[in-house]
Amino acid sequence: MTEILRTEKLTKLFGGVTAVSMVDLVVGREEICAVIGPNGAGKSTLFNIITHYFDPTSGRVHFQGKDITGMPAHLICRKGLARSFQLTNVYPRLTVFDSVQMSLLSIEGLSGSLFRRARGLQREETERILEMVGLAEQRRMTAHLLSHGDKKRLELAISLGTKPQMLLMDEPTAGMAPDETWGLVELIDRLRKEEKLTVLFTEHDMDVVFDIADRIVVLHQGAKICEGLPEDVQRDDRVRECYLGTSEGAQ
Amino acid sequence: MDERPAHGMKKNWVIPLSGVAAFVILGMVLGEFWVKVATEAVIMVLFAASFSLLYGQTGLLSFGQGAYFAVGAYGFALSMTKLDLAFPLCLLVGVVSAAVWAWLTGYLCVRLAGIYFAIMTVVVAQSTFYIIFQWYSFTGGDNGIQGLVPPGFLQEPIAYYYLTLAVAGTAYYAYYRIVGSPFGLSLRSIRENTIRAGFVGINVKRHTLKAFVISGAFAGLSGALFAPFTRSVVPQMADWMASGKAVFMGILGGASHLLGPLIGGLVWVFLDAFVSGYTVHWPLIIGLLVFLVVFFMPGGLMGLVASFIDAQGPVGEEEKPS
Repeated sequence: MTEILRTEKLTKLFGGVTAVSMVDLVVGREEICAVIGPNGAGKSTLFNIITHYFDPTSGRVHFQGKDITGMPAHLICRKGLARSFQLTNVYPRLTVFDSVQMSLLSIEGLSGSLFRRARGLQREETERILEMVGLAEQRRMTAHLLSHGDKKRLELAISLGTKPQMLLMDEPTAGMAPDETWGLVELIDRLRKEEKLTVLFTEHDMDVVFDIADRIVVLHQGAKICEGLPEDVQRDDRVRECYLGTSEGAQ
Repeated sequence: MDERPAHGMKKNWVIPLSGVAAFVILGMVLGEFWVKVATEAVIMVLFAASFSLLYGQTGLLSFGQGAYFAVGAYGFALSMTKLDLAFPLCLLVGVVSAAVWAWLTGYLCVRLAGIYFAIMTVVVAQSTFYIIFQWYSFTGGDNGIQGLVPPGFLQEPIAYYYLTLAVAGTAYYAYYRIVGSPFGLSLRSIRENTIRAGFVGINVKRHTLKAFVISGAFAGLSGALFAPFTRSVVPQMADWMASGKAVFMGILGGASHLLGPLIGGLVWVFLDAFVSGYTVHWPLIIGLLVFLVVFFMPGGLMGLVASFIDAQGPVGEEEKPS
Protein backbone atom coordinates (compact mmCIF):
# COMPACT_ATOMS: atom_id res chain seq x y z
CA MET A 1 0.00 0.00 0.00
CA THR A 2 1.46 3.35 -1.04
CA GLU A 3 0.68 5.97 1.50
CA ILE A 4 -1.09 9.17 0.43
CA LEU A 5 -2.05 10.78 3.74
CA ARG A 6 -0.39 10.51 7.10
CA THR A 7 -1.09 12.37 10.32
CA GLU A 8 1.29 12.38 13.26
CA LYS A 9 0.08 12.88 16.80
CA LEU A 10 -2.60 15.27 15.63
CA THR A 11 -4.16 17.10 18.56
CA LYS A 12 -6.73 19.86 18.88
CA LEU A 13 -7.78 21.54 22.09
CA PHE A 14 -10.76 23.89 22.28
CA GLY A 15 -10.19 25.71 25.54
CA GLY A 16 -9.88 22.88 28.02
CA VAL A 17 -11.65 20.33 25.86
CA THR A 18 -9.60 17.87 23.89
CA ALA A 19 -11.44 17.39 20.60
CA VAL A 20 -8.75 15.35 18.88
CA SER A 21 -5.97 13.67 20.77
CA MET A 22 -2.72 12.27 19.38
CA VAL A 23 -4.26 10.77 16.28
CA ASP A 24 -1.91 8.85 13.98
CA LEU A 25 -3.60 7.99 10.75
CA VAL A 26 -2.31 6.49 7.53
CA VAL A 27 -4.39 6.24 4.39
CA GLY A 28 -3.20 4.36 1.33
CA ARG A 29 -3.69 5.33 -2.29
CA GLU A 30 -7.07 4.35 -3.74
CA GLU A 31 -8.23 3.19 -0.37
CA ILE A 32 -11.69 3.87 1.02
CA CYS A 33 -11.25 4.49 4.68
CA ALA A 34 -14.01 5.29 7.15
CA VAL A 35 -13.67 7.21 10.38
CA ILE A 36 -16.43 6.32 12.78
CA GLY A 37 -17.24 7.15 16.36
CA PRO A 38 -20.10 8.43 18.45
CA ASN A 39 -21.21 12.07 18.21
CA GLY A 40 -18.51 14.34 19.53
CA ALA A 41 -15.78 11.79 18.93
CA GLY A 42 -13.79 14.37 16.96
CA LYS A 43 -14.40 13.15 13.43
CA SER A 44 -15.31 16.51 11.92
CA THR A 45 -12.58 18.25 13.87
CA LEU A 46 -10.06 15.77 12.52
CA PHE A 47 -11.19 16.59 8.98
CA ASN A 48 -11.11 20.28 9.72
CA ILE A 49 -7.52 20.06 10.90
CA ILE A 50 -6.37 17.96 7.97
CA THR A 51 -7.81 20.43 5.45
CA HIS A 52 -6.69 23.36 7.60
CA TYR A 53 -10.02 24.84 8.44
CA PHE A 54 -8.50 25.07 11.93
CA ASP A 55 -4.89 25.01 13.06
CA PRO A 56 -4.00 21.89 15.00
CA THR A 57 -2.78 22.48 18.55
CA SER A 58 0.05 20.09 17.80
CA GLY A 59 0.97 17.36 15.36
CA ARG A 60 1.67 17.21 11.63
CA VAL A 61 -0.19 16.35 8.45
CA HIS A 62 1.61 14.88 5.44
CA PHE A 63 0.01 14.55 2.04
CA GLN A 64 1.77 12.77 -0.81
CA GLY A 65 4.98 12.91 1.15
CA LYS A 66 4.82 16.67 1.78
CA ASP A 67 4.17 18.37 5.09
CA ILE A 68 1.00 20.41 4.57
CA THR A 69 0.42 21.41 8.20
CA GLY A 70 -0.63 25.05 8.35
CA MET A 71 -0.77 25.48 4.58
CA PRO A 72 -3.64 27.80 3.51
CA ALA A 73 -6.80 25.88 2.57
CA HIS A 74 -6.78 27.02 -1.05
CA LEU A 75 -3.26 25.67 -1.54
CA ILE A 76 -4.06 22.34 0.10
CA CYS A 77 -6.90 21.99 -2.35
CA ARG A 78 -4.55 22.64 -5.25
CA LYS A 79 -2.28 19.86 -4.02
CA GLY A 80 -5.12 17.44 -4.72
CA LEU A 81 -6.78 17.11 -1.34
CA ALA A 82 -10.44 18.12 -1.52
CA ARG A 83 -13.20 17.93 1.02
CA SER A 84 -16.94 18.02 1.16
CA PHE A 85 -18.88 19.26 4.13
CA GLN A 86 -21.28 17.79 6.65
CA LEU A 87 -23.87 20.51 6.24
CA THR A 88 -24.49 21.18 2.59
CA ASN A 89 -22.08 23.86 1.61
CA VAL A 90 -22.92 24.98 -1.91
CA TYR A 91 -23.24 28.37 -3.62
CA PRO A 92 -26.95 29.10 -3.11
CA ARG A 93 -27.42 31.55 -5.99
CA LEU A 94 -25.10 30.03 -8.56
CA THR A 95 -26.34 27.50 -11.08
CA VAL A 96 -25.31 23.89 -10.76
CA PHE A 97 -23.20 24.25 -13.88
CA ASP A 98 -21.40 27.39 -12.69
CA SER A 99 -20.71 25.86 -9.28
CA VAL A 100 -18.85 22.92 -10.76
CA GLN A 101 -17.21 24.92 -13.53
CA MET A 102 -15.83 27.23 -10.82
CA SER A 103 -13.82 24.40 -9.29
CA LEU A 104 -12.39 23.44 -12.66
CA LEU A 105 -11.46 27.02 -13.53
CA SER A 106 -9.83 27.40 -10.16
CA ILE A 107 -7.77 24.24 -10.36
CA GLU A 108 -6.67 25.09 -13.90
CA GLY A 109 -5.34 28.41 -12.58
CA LEU A 110 -7.97 30.46 -14.41
CA SER A 111 -9.91 31.85 -11.47
CA GLY A 112 -8.26 35.26 -11.80
CA SER A 113 -8.53 35.50 -15.57
CA LEU A 114 -10.14 38.75 -16.72
CA PHE A 115 -9.71 38.61 -20.46
CA ARG A 116 -11.52 35.40 -21.30
CA ARG A 117 -15.15 34.48 -21.19
CA ALA A 118 -16.06 31.94 -18.55
CA ARG A 119 -18.88 30.52 -20.61
CA GLY A 120 -16.84 28.41 -23.01
CA LEU A 121 -14.14 27.23 -20.61
CA GLN A 122 -13.96 23.73 -19.12
CA ARG A 123 -17.40 22.93 -20.52
CA GLU A 124 -16.89 19.30 -21.39
CA GLU A 125 -15.22 18.44 -18.13
CA THR A 126 -18.00 20.19 -16.20
CA GLU A 127 -20.62 18.23 -18.14
CA ARG A 128 -18.72 15.01 -17.52
CA ILE A 129 -18.74 15.56 -13.76
CA LEU A 130 -22.41 16.51 -13.79
CA GLU A 131 -23.23 13.33 -15.72
CA MET A 132 -21.18 11.31 -13.30
CA VAL A 133 -22.99 12.55 -10.20
CA GLY A 134 -26.35 12.57 -11.95
CA LEU A 135 -27.01 16.30 -12.04
CA ALA A 136 -26.88 16.89 -15.79
CA GLU A 137 -30.61 17.57 -15.94
CA GLN A 138 -30.43 20.22 -13.24
CA ARG A 139 -27.45 22.07 -14.69
CA ARG A 140 -29.33 25.35 -15.14
CA MET A 141 -31.01 25.36 -11.75
CA THR A 142 -29.71 27.59 -9.01
CA ALA A 143 -28.38 25.55 -6.13
CA HIS A 144 -30.80 26.74 -3.48
CA LEU A 145 -33.68 25.28 -5.47
CA LEU A 146 -32.28 21.75 -5.41
CA SER A 147 -33.59 18.97 -3.18
CA HIS A 148 -31.46 17.99 -0.23
CA GLY A 149 -30.13 14.89 -1.95
CA ASP A 150 -29.24 16.86 -5.06
CA LYS A 151 -27.48 19.44 -2.94
CA LYS A 152 -25.34 16.69 -1.42
CA ARG A 153 -24.55 15.50 -4.92
CA LEU A 154 -23.66 19.01 -6.01
CA GLU A 155 -21.49 19.30 -2.93
CA LEU A 156 -19.63 16.22 -4.14
CA ALA A 157 -19.45 17.53 -7.72
CA ILE A 158 -17.92 20.81 -6.52
CA SER A 159 -15.21 18.82 -4.73
CA LEU A 160 -14.64 16.58 -7.74
CA GLY A 161 -14.24 19.66 -9.91
CA THR A 162 -10.92 20.34 -8.20
CA LYS A 163 -9.66 17.02 -9.67
CA PRO A 164 -8.56 15.67 -6.31
CA GLN A 165 -6.36 12.67 -5.67
CA MET A 166 -8.02 12.30 -2.33
CA LEU A 167 -11.41 13.32 -1.06
CA LEU A 168 -12.44 13.84 2.54
CA MET A 169 -16.19 13.47 2.92
CA ASP A 170 -17.88 14.45 6.12
CA GLU A 171 -21.11 12.45 6.37
CA PRO A 172 -21.79 12.24 2.65
CA THR A 173 -25.18 10.55 3.05
CA ALA A 174 -26.57 12.50 6.02
CA GLY A 175 -30.25 13.24 5.47
CA MET A 176 -30.49 11.29 2.22
CA ALA A 177 -33.30 8.92 1.35
CA PRO A 178 -32.24 5.23 1.26
CA ASP A 179 -32.18 4.92 -2.54
CA GLU A 180 -30.16 8.15 -2.79
CA THR A 181 -27.75 6.79 -0.20
CA TRP A 182 -27.07 3.62 -2.19
CA GLY A 183 -26.71 5.61 -5.36
CA LEU A 184 -24.00 7.62 -3.67
CA VAL A 185 -22.27 4.51 -2.33
CA GLU A 186 -22.10 3.13 -5.85
CA LEU A 187 -20.76 6.44 -7.09
CA ILE A 188 -17.99 6.51 -4.51
CA ASP A 189 -17.01 2.99 -5.52
CA ARG A 190 -16.96 4.00 -9.18
CA LEU A 191 -14.87 7.08 -8.43
CA ARG A 192 -12.27 4.94 -6.78
CA LYS A 193 -12.12 2.57 -9.73
CA GLU A 194 -12.43 5.06 -12.58
CA GLU A 195 -10.82 8.17 -11.19
CA LYS A 196 -8.35 6.42 -8.87
CA LEU A 197 -9.68 8.48 -6.01
CA THR A 198 -8.74 7.89 -2.39
CA VAL A 199 -11.62 8.50 0.00
CA LEU A 200 -11.59 9.18 3.70
CA PHE A 201 -15.07 9.63 5.10
CA THR A 202 -17.11 9.79 8.25
CA GLU A 203 -20.51 8.23 8.37
CA HIS A 204 -23.23 7.40 10.83
CA ASP A 205 -24.92 4.80 8.68
CA MET A 206 -23.14 1.56 9.60
CA ASP A 207 -24.56 -0.31 6.61
CA VAL A 208 -22.83 2.17 4.34
CA VAL A 209 -19.60 1.97 6.30
CA PHE A 210 -19.41 -1.81 6.23
CA ASP A 211 -20.42 -1.91 2.62
CA ILE A 212 -17.72 0.27 1.09
CA ALA A 213 -14.94 0.83 3.60
CA ASP A 214 -11.73 -1.11 3.07
CA ARG A 215 -10.61 -0.08 6.47
CA ILE A 216 -12.20 1.54 9.49
CA VAL A 217 -10.74 3.85 12.09
CA VAL A 218 -12.66 4.29 15.32
CA LEU A 219 -12.42 7.50 17.31
CA HIS A 220 -13.69 7.90 20.82
CA GLN A 221 -13.37 11.10 22.83
CA GLY A 222 -10.85 12.37 20.32
CA ALA A 223 -8.52 9.38 20.44
CA LYS A 224 -8.11 6.51 18.03
CA ILE A 225 -9.19 3.38 19.89
CA CYS A 226 -9.20 0.85 17.12
CA GLU A 227 -8.32 0.48 13.46
CA GLY A 228 -8.57 -2.39 11.03
CA LEU A 229 -10.60 -4.31 8.49
CA PRO A 230 -14.38 -4.02 8.87
CA GLU A 231 -14.71 -7.56 10.24
CA ASP A 232 -12.05 -6.95 12.87
CA VAL A 233 -13.52 -3.66 13.95
CA GLN A 234 -16.95 -5.22 14.24
CA ARG A 235 -15.57 -7.84 16.58
CA ASP A 236 -13.52 -5.47 18.74
CA ASP A 237 -14.78 -5.31 22.31
CA ARG A 238 -13.75 -1.73 22.99
CA VAL A 239 -15.60 -0.58 19.89
CA ARG A 240 -18.75 -2.44 20.87
CA GLU A 241 -18.55 -0.99 24.31
CA CYS A 242 -18.12 2.66 23.38
CA TYR A 243 -20.00 2.78 20.18
CA LEU A 244 -21.83 0.02 18.42
CA GLY A 245 -23.58 -1.24 21.53
CA THR A 246 -24.76 2.05 22.93
CA SER A 247 -25.32 4.73 20.34
CA GLU A 248 -26.20 2.86 17.16
CA GLY A 249 -29.77 2.55 18.34
CA ALA A 250 -29.96 6.27 18.75
CA GLN A 251 -29.14 6.98 15.10
CA MET B 1 -29.94 24.08 -24.16
CA ASP B 2 -28.55 23.94 -27.68
CA GLU B 3 -30.94 26.54 -29.01
CA ARG B 4 -29.57 28.90 -26.38
CA PRO B 5 -26.36 30.19 -28.00
CA ALA B 6 -28.18 31.38 -31.14
CA HIS B 7 -30.85 33.00 -29.02
CA GLY B 8 -28.22 34.50 -26.75
CA MET B 9 -26.24 35.82 -29.71
CA LYS B 10 -29.24 37.74 -30.97
CA LYS B 11 -29.87 39.23 -27.55
CA ASN B 12 -26.16 39.98 -27.16
CA TRP B 13 -26.21 42.33 -30.14
CA VAL B 14 -29.66 43.83 -30.12
CA ILE B 15 -29.74 45.13 -26.56
CA PRO B 16 -26.37 46.91 -26.44
CA LEU B 17 -26.73 48.33 -29.95
CA SER B 18 -30.17 49.72 -29.31
CA GLY B 19 -28.94 51.05 -25.97
CA VAL B 20 -26.04 52.90 -27.57
CA ALA B 21 -28.33 54.17 -30.34
CA ALA B 22 -30.77 55.47 -27.74
CA PHE B 23 -28.02 57.42 -26.00
CA VAL B 24 -26.73 58.85 -29.27
CA ILE B 25 -30.22 59.96 -30.30
CA LEU B 26 -30.81 61.37 -26.83
CA GLY B 27 -27.88 63.69 -27.37
CA MET B 28 -29.49 64.99 -30.57
CA VAL B 29 -32.97 65.63 -29.24
CA LEU B 30 -32.31 66.94 -25.74
CA GLY B 31 -31.84 70.60 -24.90
CA GLU B 32 -28.71 71.85 -23.18
CA PHE B 33 -29.97 71.38 -19.63
CA TRP B 34 -31.02 67.79 -20.20
CA VAL B 35 -27.84 67.00 -22.13
CA LYS B 36 -25.95 68.02 -19.01
CA VAL B 37 -28.20 65.84 -16.90
CA ALA B 38 -27.60 62.95 -19.29
CA THR B 39 -23.84 63.54 -19.08
CA GLU B 40 -23.95 63.39 -15.31
CA ALA B 41 -26.11 60.27 -15.49
CA VAL B 42 -23.66 58.48 -17.75
CA ILE B 43 -20.80 59.41 -15.42
CA MET B 44 -22.75 58.20 -12.40
CA VAL B 45 -23.42 54.86 -14.07
CA LEU B 46 -19.70 54.15 -13.71
CA PHE B 47 -19.81 55.16 -10.05
CA ALA B 48 -22.71 52.77 -9.52
CA ALA B 49 -20.77 50.06 -11.37
CA SER B 50 -17.85 50.53 -9.01
CA PHE B 51 -20.11 49.83 -6.03
CA SER B 52 -21.91 46.99 -7.79
CA LEU B 53 -18.75 45.10 -8.63
CA LEU B 54 -17.98 44.92 -4.92
CA TYR B 55 -21.45 44.49 -3.50
CA GLY B 56 -23.40 42.81 -6.27
CA GLN B 57 -20.69 40.50 -7.55
CA THR B 58 -18.40 39.97 -4.56
CA GLY B 59 -20.85 40.50 -1.70
CA LEU B 60 -18.75 43.21 -0.04
CA LEU B 61 -20.69 46.23 1.18
CA SER B 62 -18.46 49.22 0.53
CA PHE B 63 -19.57 52.46 2.09
CA GLY B 64 -16.48 54.28 0.94
CA GLN B 65 -16.50 54.43 -2.85
CA GLY B 66 -16.61 58.23 -2.61
CA ALA B 67 -12.94 58.16 -1.63
CA TYR B 68 -11.90 56.69 -4.97
CA PHE B 69 -14.29 58.94 -6.87
CA ALA B 70 -12.64 61.95 -5.22
CA VAL B 71 -9.10 60.68 -5.75
CA GLY B 72 -9.96 60.18 -9.42
CA ALA B 73 -11.32 63.72 -9.63
CA TYR B 74 -8.35 65.24 -7.78
CA GLY B 75 -5.92 63.17 -9.83
CA PHE B 76 -7.46 64.73 -12.90
CA ALA B 77 -7.54 68.23 -11.41
CA LEU B 78 -3.95 68.21 -10.14
CA SER B 79 -2.48 66.79 -13.31
CA MET B 80 -4.33 69.47 -15.27
CA THR B 81 -3.48 72.46 -13.08
CA LYS B 82 -0.06 71.53 -11.68
CA LEU B 83 1.40 69.32 -14.39
CA ASP B 84 -0.41 70.82 -17.34
CA LEU B 85 -0.92 67.40 -18.90
CA ALA B 86 -3.06 66.74 -21.95
CA PHE B 87 -6.71 65.99 -21.28
CA PRO B 88 -6.61 62.21 -21.95
CA LEU B 89 -3.54 61.89 -19.75
CA CYS B 90 -5.33 63.74 -16.96
CA LEU B 91 -8.13 61.19 -17.16
CA LEU B 92 -5.58 58.40 -17.04
CA VAL B 93 -3.81 59.89 -14.02
CA GLY B 94 -7.20 60.11 -12.28
CA VAL B 95 -7.98 56.46 -12.90
CA VAL B 96 -4.53 55.22 -11.95
CA SER B 97 -4.33 57.28 -8.75
CA ALA B 98 -7.75 56.00 -7.66
CA ALA B 99 -6.69 52.42 -8.39
CA VAL B 100 -3.45 52.85 -6.45
CA TRP B 101 -5.29 54.39 -3.49
CA ALA B 102 -7.77 51.49 -3.64
CA TRP B 103 -4.89 49.05 -3.64
CA LEU B 104 -3.24 50.63 -0.59
CA THR B 105 -6.44 51.01 1.42
CA GLY B 106 -8.06 47.83 0.13
CA TYR B 107 -5.17 45.86 1.52
CA LEU B 108 -6.57 46.70 4.97
CA CYS B 109 -10.25 46.40 4.07
CA VAL B 110 -10.22 42.95 2.48
CA ARG B 111 -8.77 41.46 5.64
CA LEU B 112 -12.14 42.08 7.29
CA ALA B 113 -15.53 40.56 6.60
CA GLY B 114 -19.15 41.68 6.82
CA ILE B 115 -19.90 44.75 8.89
CA TYR B 116 -16.22 45.20 9.78
CA PHE B 117 -15.39 45.51 6.11
CA ALA B 118 -18.13 48.13 5.71
CA ILE B 119 -16.88 50.10 8.72
CA MET B 120 -13.32 49.99 7.44
CA THR B 121 -14.40 51.41 4.09
CA VAL B 122 -16.15 54.28 5.91
CA VAL B 123 -13.02 54.92 7.95
CA VAL B 124 -10.89 54.99 4.81
CA ALA B 125 -13.31 57.32 3.03
CA GLN B 126 -13.47 59.75 5.96
CA SER B 127 -9.68 59.72 6.24
CA THR B 128 -9.44 60.47 2.53
CA PHE B 129 -11.87 63.33 3.00
CA TYR B 130 -9.80 64.85 5.82
CA ILE B 131 -6.54 64.47 3.95
CA ILE B 132 -8.02 66.35 0.99
CA PHE B 133 -9.71 68.86 3.28
CA GLN B 134 -6.62 69.76 5.27
CA TRP B 135 -3.78 69.49 2.80
CA TYR B 136 -4.13 73.09 1.58
CA SER B 137 -0.81 73.37 -0.25
CA PHE B 138 -1.60 70.38 -2.46
CA THR B 139 -5.36 70.04 -2.74
CA GLY B 140 -6.52 73.58 -1.99
CA GLY B 141 -8.34 72.36 1.12
CA ASP B 142 -11.97 73.37 1.40
CA ASN B 143 -11.61 75.74 -1.56
CA GLY B 144 -11.12 72.81 -3.86
CA ILE B 145 -9.66 73.40 -7.32
CA GLN B 146 -11.46 75.46 -9.93
CA GLY B 147 -11.09 76.23 -13.57
CA LEU B 148 -10.93 72.68 -14.87
CA VAL B 149 -12.05 73.61 -18.34
CA PRO B 150 -11.76 70.84 -20.93
CA PRO B 151 -9.86 71.74 -24.08
CA GLY B 152 -11.39 73.25 -27.23
CA PHE B 153 -14.62 71.86 -28.57
CA LEU B 154 -15.13 69.67 -25.49
CA GLN B 155 -16.34 72.80 -23.75
CA GLU B 156 -19.55 72.34 -25.72
CA PRO B 157 -21.94 70.35 -23.49
CA ILE B 158 -22.98 68.15 -26.39
CA ALA B 159 -19.39 67.31 -27.30
CA TYR B 160 -18.59 66.49 -23.71
CA TYR B 161 -21.69 64.31 -23.58
CA TYR B 162 -20.50 62.24 -26.53
CA LEU B 163 -17.00 61.99 -25.11
CA THR B 164 -18.42 60.78 -21.81
CA LEU B 165 -20.67 58.36 -23.64
CA ALA B 166 -17.75 56.88 -25.56
CA VAL B 167 -15.54 56.52 -22.49
CA ALA B 168 -18.29 55.24 -20.21
CA GLY B 169 -19.60 52.91 -22.91
CA THR B 170 -16.16 51.36 -23.28
CA ALA B 171 -15.82 51.09 -19.52
CA TYR B 172 -19.22 49.44 -19.26
CA TYR B 173 -18.20 46.94 -21.89
CA ALA B 174 -15.18 46.20 -19.69
CA TYR B 175 -17.56 45.76 -16.74
CA TYR B 176 -19.61 43.31 -18.80
CA ARG B 177 -16.50 41.36 -19.72
CA ILE B 178 -15.29 41.27 -16.10
CA VAL B 179 -18.66 39.99 -14.90
CA GLY B 180 -18.61 37.28 -17.55
CA SER B 181 -14.95 36.33 -17.07
CA PRO B 182 -13.66 33.48 -14.93
CA PHE B 183 -12.66 36.16 -12.43
CA GLY B 184 -16.26 37.39 -12.31
CA LEU B 185 -17.47 33.89 -11.56
CA SER B 186 -14.84 33.62 -8.82
CA LEU B 187 -16.20 36.81 -7.27
CA ARG B 188 -19.74 35.42 -7.27
CA SER B 189 -18.49 32.20 -5.69
CA ILE B 190 -16.84 34.26 -2.97
CA ARG B 191 -20.09 36.19 -2.53
CA GLU B 192 -22.15 33.02 -2.28
CA ASN B 193 -19.85 31.02 -0.03
CA THR B 194 -16.49 32.46 0.92
CA ILE B 195 -15.34 29.40 2.83
CA ARG B 196 -16.25 26.99 0.08
CA ALA B 197 -14.54 29.20 -2.49
CA GLY B 198 -11.34 28.86 -0.47
CA PHE B 199 -11.74 25.10 -0.39
CA VAL B 200 -11.91 24.86 -4.17
CA GLY B 201 -8.58 26.61 -4.43
CA ILE B 202 -9.56 30.26 -4.80
CA ASN B 203 -7.27 32.73 -3.07
CA VAL B 204 -10.07 34.76 -1.53
CA LYS B 205 -8.02 37.71 -0.24
CA ARG B 206 -6.14 38.16 -3.46
CA HIS B 207 -9.30 38.04 -5.55
CA THR B 208 -11.21 40.45 -3.32
CA LEU B 209 -8.29 42.88 -3.35
CA LYS B 210 -8.21 42.69 -7.13
CA ALA B 211 -11.94 43.40 -7.24
CA PHE B 212 -11.40 46.29 -4.85
CA VAL B 213 -8.74 47.83 -7.08
CA ILE B 214 -10.81 47.41 -10.25
CA SER B 215 -13.77 48.90 -8.45
CA GLY B 216 -11.59 51.81 -7.33
CA ALA B 217 -10.54 52.36 -10.93
CA PHE B 218 -14.18 52.55 -12.02
CA ALA B 219 -14.95 55.09 -9.28
CA GLY B 220 -11.80 56.98 -10.28
CA LEU B 221 -12.80 57.13 -13.93
CA SER B 222 -16.20 58.39 -12.87
CA GLY B 223 -14.58 61.10 -10.74
CA ALA B 224 -12.07 62.03 -13.44
CA LEU B 225 -14.90 62.53 -15.95
CA PHE B 226 -16.92 64.47 -13.39
CA ALA B 227 -14.20 67.02 -12.56
CA PRO B 228 -14.07 68.73 -16.00
CA PHE B 229 -17.85 68.35 -16.25
CA THR B 230 -18.41 70.60 -13.24
CA ARG B 231 -15.14 72.52 -13.91
CA SER B 232 -14.11 72.05 -10.26
CA VAL B 233 -13.34 69.55 -7.52
CA VAL B 234 -14.23 69.86 -3.83
CA PRO B 235 -13.39 67.71 -0.80
CA GLN B 236 -17.09 66.84 -0.39
CA MET B 237 -16.62 64.42 -3.29
CA ALA B 238 -15.03 62.08 -0.75
CA ASP B 239 -17.54 62.45 2.07
CA TRP B 240 -20.02 59.85 3.22
CA MET B 241 -22.85 61.40 1.21
CA ALA B 242 -20.93 60.75 -1.98
CA SER B 243 -20.24 57.17 -0.93
CA GLY B 244 -23.89 56.75 0.02
CA LYS B 245 -24.88 57.86 -3.46
CA ALA B 246 -22.95 54.95 -4.97
CA VAL B 247 -24.69 52.59 -2.57
CA PHE B 248 -28.16 53.94 -3.37
CA MET B 249 -27.66 53.94 -7.12
CA GLY B 250 -26.29 50.41 -6.99
CA ILE B 251 -29.12 49.10 -4.86
CA LEU B 252 -31.75 50.99 -6.81
CA GLY B 253 -30.67 49.39 -10.08
CA GLY B 254 -29.91 45.97 -8.61
CA ALA B 255 -26.24 45.52 -7.84
CA SER B 256 -25.93 41.85 -8.81
CA HIS B 257 -27.45 42.37 -12.25
CA LEU B 258 -25.32 43.24 -15.22
CA LEU B 259 -27.51 46.20 -16.16
CA GLY B 260 -28.21 47.20 -12.56
CA PRO B 261 -25.62 50.01 -12.33
CA LEU B 262 -26.75 51.39 -15.69
CA ILE B 263 -30.40 51.56 -14.68
CA GLY B 264 -29.59 52.71 -11.15
CA GLY B 265 -27.33 55.55 -12.26
CA LEU B 266 -29.71 56.78 -14.97
CA VAL B 267 -32.86 56.62 -12.86
CA TRP B 268 -31.17 58.32 -9.93
CA VAL B 269 -29.74 61.28 -11.83
CA PHE B 270 -32.80 61.88 -14.01
CA LEU B 271 -35.10 61.62 -11.03
CA ASP B 272 -32.86 64.02 -9.15
CA ALA B 273 -33.00 66.56 -11.99
CA PHE B 274 -36.70 66.08 -12.49
CA VAL B 275 -37.87 66.19 -8.90
CA SER B 276 -35.59 69.01 -7.78
CA GLY B 277 -37.27 71.12 -10.49
CA TYR B 278 -40.49 70.85 -8.50
CA THR B 279 -39.47 70.68 -4.88
CA VAL B 280 -36.52 71.35 -2.63
CA HIS B 281 -37.40 68.24 -0.67
CA TRP B 282 -35.58 65.91 -3.05
CA PRO B 283 -33.57 64.25 -0.23
CA LEU B 284 -36.82 63.36 1.50
CA ILE B 285 -38.18 61.79 -1.66
CA ILE B 286 -34.97 59.89 -2.26
CA GLY B 287 -35.16 58.61 1.31
CA LEU B 288 -38.63 57.26 0.67
CA LEU B 289 -37.52 55.76 -2.62
CA VAL B 290 -34.64 53.92 -1.03
CA PHE B 291 -36.95 52.73 1.72
CA LEU B 292 -39.38 51.32 -0.83
CA VAL B 293 -36.66 49.64 -2.88
CA VAL B 294 -35.06 48.00 0.13
CA PHE B 295 -38.39 46.74 1.42
CA PHE B 296 -40.19 45.70 -1.73
CA MET B 297 -37.50 45.21 -4.36
CA PRO B 298 -34.48 43.61 -2.73
CA GLY B 299 -33.08 42.87 -6.21
CA GLY B 300 -33.52 46.49 -7.30
CA LEU B 301 -35.20 47.54 -10.52
CA MET B 302 -33.33 44.93 -12.55
CA GLY B 303 -34.32 42.31 -10.01
CA LEU B 304 -37.90 43.23 -10.72
CA VAL B 305 -37.33 42.92 -14.45
CA ALA B 306 -35.53 39.60 -14.01
CA SER B 307 -38.31 38.11 -11.91
CA PHE B 308 -40.79 39.27 -14.54
CA ILE B 309 -38.77 37.55 -17.26
CA ASP B 310 -38.42 34.43 -15.13
CA ALA B 311 -42.18 34.31 -14.78
CA GLN B 312 -42.49 34.46 -18.57
CA GLY B 313 -40.26 31.53 -19.34
CA PRO B 314 -37.51 29.32 -18.08
CA VAL B 315 -34.44 31.51 -18.06
CA GLY B 316 -31.69 30.74 -15.55
CA GLU B 317 -31.09 33.34 -12.88
CA GLU B 318 -27.39 33.50 -13.54
CA GLU B 319 -27.98 33.94 -17.23
CA LYS B 320 -26.88 37.50 -17.72
CA PRO B 321 -23.24 37.42 -16.77
CA SER B 322 -21.55 35.74 -19.70
